[in-house]
Amino acid sequence: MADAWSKLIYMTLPYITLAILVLGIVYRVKRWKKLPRAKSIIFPTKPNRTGTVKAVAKDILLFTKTYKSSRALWVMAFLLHIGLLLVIMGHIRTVTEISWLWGLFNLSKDGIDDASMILGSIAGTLMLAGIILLLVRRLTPTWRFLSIFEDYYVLLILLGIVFTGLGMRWFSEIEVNEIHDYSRGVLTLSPSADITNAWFLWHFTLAQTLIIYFPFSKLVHVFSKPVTEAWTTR
Amino acid sequence: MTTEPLTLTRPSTEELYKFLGTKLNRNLAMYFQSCQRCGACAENCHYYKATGDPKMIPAYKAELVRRLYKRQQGSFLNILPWFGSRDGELSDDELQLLVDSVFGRCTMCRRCTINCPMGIDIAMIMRACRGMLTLAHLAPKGLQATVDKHLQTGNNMGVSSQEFVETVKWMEEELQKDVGDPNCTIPIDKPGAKNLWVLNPREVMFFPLLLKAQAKIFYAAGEDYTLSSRSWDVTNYALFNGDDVAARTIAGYVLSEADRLGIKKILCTECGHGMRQLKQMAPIWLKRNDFQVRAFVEVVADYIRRERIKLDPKVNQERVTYHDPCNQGRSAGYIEEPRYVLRHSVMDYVDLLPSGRDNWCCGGGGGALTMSEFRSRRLDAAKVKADQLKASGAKIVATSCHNCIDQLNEINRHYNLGMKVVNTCELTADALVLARPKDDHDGEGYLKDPSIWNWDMAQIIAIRERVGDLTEDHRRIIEYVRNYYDTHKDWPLPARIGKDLDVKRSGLFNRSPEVLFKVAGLPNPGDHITWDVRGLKDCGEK
Repeated sequence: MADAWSKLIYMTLPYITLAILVLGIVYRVKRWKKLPRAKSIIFPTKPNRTGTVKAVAKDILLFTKTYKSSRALWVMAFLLHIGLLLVIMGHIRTVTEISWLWGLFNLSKDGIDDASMILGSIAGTLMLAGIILLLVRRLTPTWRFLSIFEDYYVLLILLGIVFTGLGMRWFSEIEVNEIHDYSRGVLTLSPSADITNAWFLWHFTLAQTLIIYFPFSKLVHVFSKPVTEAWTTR
Repeated sequence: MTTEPLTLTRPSTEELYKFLGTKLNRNLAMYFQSCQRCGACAENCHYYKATGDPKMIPAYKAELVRRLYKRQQGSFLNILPWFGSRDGELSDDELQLLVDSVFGRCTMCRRCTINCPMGIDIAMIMRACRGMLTLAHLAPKGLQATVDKHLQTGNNMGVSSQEFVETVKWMEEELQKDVGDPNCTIPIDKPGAKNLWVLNPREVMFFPLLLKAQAKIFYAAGEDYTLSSRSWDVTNYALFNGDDVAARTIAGYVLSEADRLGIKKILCTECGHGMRQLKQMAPIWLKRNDFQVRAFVEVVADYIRRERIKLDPKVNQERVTYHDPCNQGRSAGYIEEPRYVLRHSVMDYVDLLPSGRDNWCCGGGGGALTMSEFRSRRLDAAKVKADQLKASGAKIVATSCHNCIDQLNEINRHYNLGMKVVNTCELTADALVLARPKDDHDGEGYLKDPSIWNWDMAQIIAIRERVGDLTEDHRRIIEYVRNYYDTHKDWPLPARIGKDLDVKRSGLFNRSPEVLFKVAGLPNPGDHITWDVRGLKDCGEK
């Protein structure tokens, strides 16, 4: 049974996830494009486009608007997002080795592993701290009143992913090569179910749950934020 | 809030949803999807800041509307119960909660919008929902009555044409005594005037001296303007009850008068929302943009810059601060102009903190002053404004919006601030020095006698028109334009200049052909320029 379960997760689910992600985004964008354009002026626009682009880019990189509104929220959100950025960069290694990049830093294969062990752990911890703080904040009376299920759901899944991800690093023996081989298998349409690590199984499953949910959730702010911000930023 | 028995039959839930569907656009859909309910808006809402009540958080109000849309739209997500919609009729309780939230807890000031990490325009969401509630005959009675009165009588206080003309004539006499010129008039229905001056009925009914103050400034500047005896009301409360049909009709009143008198420039009195709806919304509602709308502070700032009026700030010795009306400051971008005017009109000017785009709403916006049922809540929320005013240490608070003035007066009484609340035009009119400066240019900045033009003069005009120092590029264009005029006796089209000299996107001369002609010393083209798009650049569709 366990075997069949992990076979499903490793060999079938990745393709389903990818299909839902792509089709979901296409569906959402199509539905959105059917709607009429808003005609009213939100704010008088900046005379030059570069000004708007700069302001929006600054806000996306530094969360300036959040900083202005609430320092506490800024710390939490920034921890989460900067951690996430580092983690996503680290995950490139699970698909491909960027040897030329490591060459730039004069790192040998062992050196990369050590660096990734430390950096990855730091990134994961930052993210974990951000998620826990945001979750605790949501549970205080004012913000609990404001929150809906989706808000908790996203945070809880992220918490699970980060927790299992860190657990995999700290409490189990798993080589990046194993994951590397597996992801290569998925990409070449010959997936295997060789990995027996339970931490990884959970990490992988939860991550896919999040990706499936992505196009239908508030997580689309990844795409929508630059657009909506450009409408309102002067 | 007490629920009163409804006298009109309410449209069915389907009809209400259908209406919501018509209001849905790409912006709204994106807003609903990207709200994180992070609560950054809470700290930017004066209702929340004053009360600490989570029901006041803008994201919560937006969430109520979002839920409506989720039900109305449906989606395949409905298979998951917690994401999806509940079927069924909109109950009285739900509708009352919505009325309470979108009318009673939001002034559509959009302070949350400019500080939202996702850039969500709460006012747009509120207006969609307000429109639905207006359709359901649930809009607060005071607000609806104001709109109805405007539709019935042509102005929102039901002033008759005769009453209006009498008031203006009375003020004309007062003005003649004041300036000592028996020939000075306040023109009514003068066809072919350059500007149509539109008013707020509050001035005509209760504060006619404000008419005199403004007319005095026009007199000093030698402005060519007229009032209309038929449609002179700039306000449009349908902006706040979300009824687009009424809004279109009301905006059309003023514009049809402008057409009748053959006027393309509309000069608004100090009314925040009236100016904004004419400038930004009317071009969309009426699908035309062949007119230009200017705010009063913009016009006065222009007079000062062009030395059309002379001011003596020593008349106003007391410390003055300026309250930015949301519609005029944050939403229409008039931040510098009122400050420029006040700095020239008073000795001691201080900004509020925060000021400009981040200034707090007075608490009376979005038609809140007409909704008597929410009065106590409105005054509680105004505590933020009261504290801000107190901290400024000013004796006088000036503003450029009649709605704000009423609310600021109420705050003043309620919180015992002991301040004086005035319109900026009052301070400016008091500071006027009536001897008009002798000048070589006409009112609009063109040389009266183009033959006296030389390069030194061009530099002086360039500074007055805020072009700055003339560079080689400037000179090249000026030479071209002058040559063109000498040969063709016509004003070159901007597109032609751009093509011939390859300076299309240079942004020289503030992108305004008029400024270029002034600096180049060409005669005033007057009505020859039909392609004048100055001031309309904000009106294009998003």
